[in-house]
Amino acid sequence: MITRALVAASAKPIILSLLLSGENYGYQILKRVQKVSGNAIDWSEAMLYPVLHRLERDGLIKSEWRLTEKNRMRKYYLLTELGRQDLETEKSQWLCVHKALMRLWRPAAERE
Amino acid sequence: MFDLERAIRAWKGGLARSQSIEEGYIAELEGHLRDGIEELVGQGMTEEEAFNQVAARLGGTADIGTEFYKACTTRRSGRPPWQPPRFVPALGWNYAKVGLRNMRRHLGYTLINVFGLAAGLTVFLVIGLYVRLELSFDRFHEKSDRIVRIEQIVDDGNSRKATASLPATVISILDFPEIEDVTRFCGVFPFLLRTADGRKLQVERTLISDEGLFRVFSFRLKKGDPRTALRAPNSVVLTEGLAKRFFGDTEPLGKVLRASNPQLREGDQTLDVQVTGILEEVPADSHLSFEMILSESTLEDFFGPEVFTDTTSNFTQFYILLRPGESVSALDAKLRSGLKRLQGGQSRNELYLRPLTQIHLCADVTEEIGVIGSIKRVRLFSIVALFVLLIAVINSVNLSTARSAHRAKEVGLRKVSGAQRTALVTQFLCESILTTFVASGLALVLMLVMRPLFPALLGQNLRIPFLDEPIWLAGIALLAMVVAVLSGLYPALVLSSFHPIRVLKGTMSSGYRNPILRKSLVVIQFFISISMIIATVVVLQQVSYLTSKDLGFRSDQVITIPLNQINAVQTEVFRAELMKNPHILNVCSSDYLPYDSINWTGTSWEGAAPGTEISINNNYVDEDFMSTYQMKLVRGRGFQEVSRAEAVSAAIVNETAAKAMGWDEPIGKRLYYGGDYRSESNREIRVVGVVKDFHLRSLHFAITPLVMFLLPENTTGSNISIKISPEQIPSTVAFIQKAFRKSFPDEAYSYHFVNEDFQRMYRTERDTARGLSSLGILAVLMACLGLFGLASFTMQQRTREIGVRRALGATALRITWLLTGEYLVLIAIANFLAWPVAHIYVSAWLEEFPYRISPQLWVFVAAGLAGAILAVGSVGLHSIKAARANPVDALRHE
Repeated sequence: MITRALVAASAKPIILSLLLSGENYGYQILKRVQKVSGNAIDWSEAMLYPVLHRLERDGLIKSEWRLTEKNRMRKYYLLTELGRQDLETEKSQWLCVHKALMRLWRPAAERE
Repeated sequence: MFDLERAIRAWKGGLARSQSIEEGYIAELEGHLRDGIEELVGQGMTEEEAFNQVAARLGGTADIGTEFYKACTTRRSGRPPWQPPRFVPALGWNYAKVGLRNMRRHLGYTLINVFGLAAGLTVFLVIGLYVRLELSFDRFHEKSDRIVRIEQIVDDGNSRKATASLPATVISILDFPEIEDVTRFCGVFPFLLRTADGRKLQVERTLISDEGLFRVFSFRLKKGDPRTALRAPNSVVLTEGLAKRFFGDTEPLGKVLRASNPQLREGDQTLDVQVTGILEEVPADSHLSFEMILSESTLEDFFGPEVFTDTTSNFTQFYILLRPGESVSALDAKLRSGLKRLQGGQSRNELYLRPLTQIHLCADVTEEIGVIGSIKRVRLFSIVALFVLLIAVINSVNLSTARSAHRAKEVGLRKVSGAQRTALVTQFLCESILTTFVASGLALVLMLVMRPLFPALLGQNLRIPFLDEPIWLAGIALLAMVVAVLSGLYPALVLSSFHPIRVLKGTMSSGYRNPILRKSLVVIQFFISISMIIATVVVLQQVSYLTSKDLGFRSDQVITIPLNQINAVQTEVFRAELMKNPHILNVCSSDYLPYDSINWTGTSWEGAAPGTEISINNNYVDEDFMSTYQMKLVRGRGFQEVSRAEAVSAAIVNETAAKAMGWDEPIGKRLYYGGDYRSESNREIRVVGVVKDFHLRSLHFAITPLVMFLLPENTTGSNISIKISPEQIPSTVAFIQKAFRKSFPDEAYSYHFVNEDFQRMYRTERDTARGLSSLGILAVLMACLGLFGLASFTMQQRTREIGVRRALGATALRITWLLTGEYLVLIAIANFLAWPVAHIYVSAWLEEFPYRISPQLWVFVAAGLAGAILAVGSVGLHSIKAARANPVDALRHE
């Protein structure tokens, strides 16, 4: 289980990173996150969509309605240039935290 | 058939109602829903299952709405403005004001509710304390979980004895590794003590024990050394209070008292004992109750050293301290085989170990020296206390829901102003909590006021803990909370469910919602009340049967005097003195009183198969015994017609004995008697007469075979019975006392009327009956009070209906019947339920008496009728008032 606070903090970089590989829609994003994390991260729908909307409002992603092959409307999200830049900052921040933690968790002998 | 499209439409409709979800969001969520369903259906699920699963995952409209709102707001709480806050502190004062105003406006209702709850809580708390005391018996001993008592299952008709036929030293002989320590009691005796300056004091309860007492139990010495206090012969340990009575404030240790012992009749008549220890008072929750302990080694002075090695003596009680971790059952089995080995297989008695903590409530043994309670009474009273509390709670529920109409408008208005249902439920629950806390306070006061009644009602004095036990106060608060929620939750849910528009338009008859529930609750109340009436009456009947049954002898105006020192010459002088008074009709002497015969011996008889024996009760009596108690001789001769030469071997048996031995003609038959407390050797005995069966012990026991012998010449029994005439009893009693003092200058005089002894025998039953009847009356009263309040509300609601009926020509009688009949149906249902349940219960209770009444039909009918009459009385008053009111007033109403 991942705490609520961490889920909230990591939602943005995860969504942005996912969209880096191409446009996607809500349902698929949810499934991909589950798969990538080995089911450790299981977002609720009620949380995902509001976050997507906020990212869109902030200009990090944009959305397009498209018709699917089954003639249904589906909203696709894709990364904007601003989003790409933001992801870079996010990435360096997360790596920074990651590095610090990894160093701390290494056995004492290696740390020196 | 499940229609997916329709289900999705309905689902979307739900979302559309949320103020934070926009059209586009719904379309997106719908796409998500459809994707999910598609995937699950692809995995083999039906559409319905798939829809339900995905929709459930998406969550309720309110949740989704809140999340969407949170994502686009800067408010810290994230609460959308259209959602009212859960609690508005500013409204607290308003809640309190409205609650108090309502209480005052319906004062009658409030009083019924508060007093009902207070009564229920009082009963519950008092019984709770009583049960706690009973269950905690003997747990104050530090090693209480390791102490067991040896009991003996005697081959005399399956009775158990607290004493064991073991030599006192048996435990050391057997030497079990499981046993850490042991202590012995040689009974409880009354002693007459004299101080050096000649003051006399009767000590009723003296234990005879050894120094192991202080190692096994946690009785504490204030003065003296527990290791040695009971070692030397003629040492006594006194309780603090007793020492104070003897010596005042002077130092008691080392003082000498002269003791005369009443029942240990062989040996010295008096002995000088030295005080070697002062004991803290024995706690009220100890089954061992005593004022003085005499060292066991003193007994050697009376009986000689063989008293501790004799295998046939059976007056010793053993309390064993097990080593930590040893099991009782393992030792039990070992002890049994050990006993068999010791007695060479002669004894047919069995040993049994009973844990200390079970003695007070569960021991059902004879020769008990402890204070014995009754687990049955504890159970019965617990159930009854719960019932009474339940009645109070039901009253509260019923009255609150019935008067909900009065508060419907308030609810409507609060809802219109934005109150949420949870807020309303909280508000009403708080009111009920407030009421219950007031009631609990009242209950505490009631407990204090009722305290002097406890001994009479419960047969037990109770200490009410207050500030010294915070856990007790916390317990009361918890109980009050539980009661508040039980009695307040349902009314709160009903009240808060009102639809504001309908209520404010006035189109809802809110008070009449769910009458089925209210009616079922009334049925439950009367079911409880009627069952309790039946149980009470049956218990009272049985008690009266126990005390009035023909016992086979006459006990009215018979006085008994126990003799402390047996002296035939003095007894003869006393008898002669008594017979001078014309109001004294008869005097006799016997070892045991006819209703307290507890000596048994194995006996064979003429015509018995070899090796067959029965256990026979035996008693030594004089020639006048049977005439004093007016017993009937059904065959042969009485002892008066037996010559002295013949007397040595003459015996009178009872009918049960004759039957047990299979004799058609018992006269002249021989008994082969194993020897008793008076004669060691085997004797041959001839039956000279048969006495009509009489009860040898209390009616808890069946009549068993009995043989009576004539007291040998120049001896006397340890009890004197005197039959006096019913006239001038006080002066006759005074005369007897004077004659006694003259004949036995050294004796302590005490006497009993036999009928008083009988009253004492059935104390448990009478205590139960008294407690049960008080609680029963209370329960019925409370149920009636509740019904009274309920009826007054329902009548108000039906004012217009009654007015219309009256206007259309219904008579007042007819309307009274209409209003009351409804409740009579409920009482009938309650009866229908109560009769079989009560029958099962009282039959089980009666089952334990060998001589008992059978529950009679009229008791059930009468209890039912009483319930009906009380109910009609409670409802009828309102009905008549409503029925006789002028219909014009009723119809102009509103």
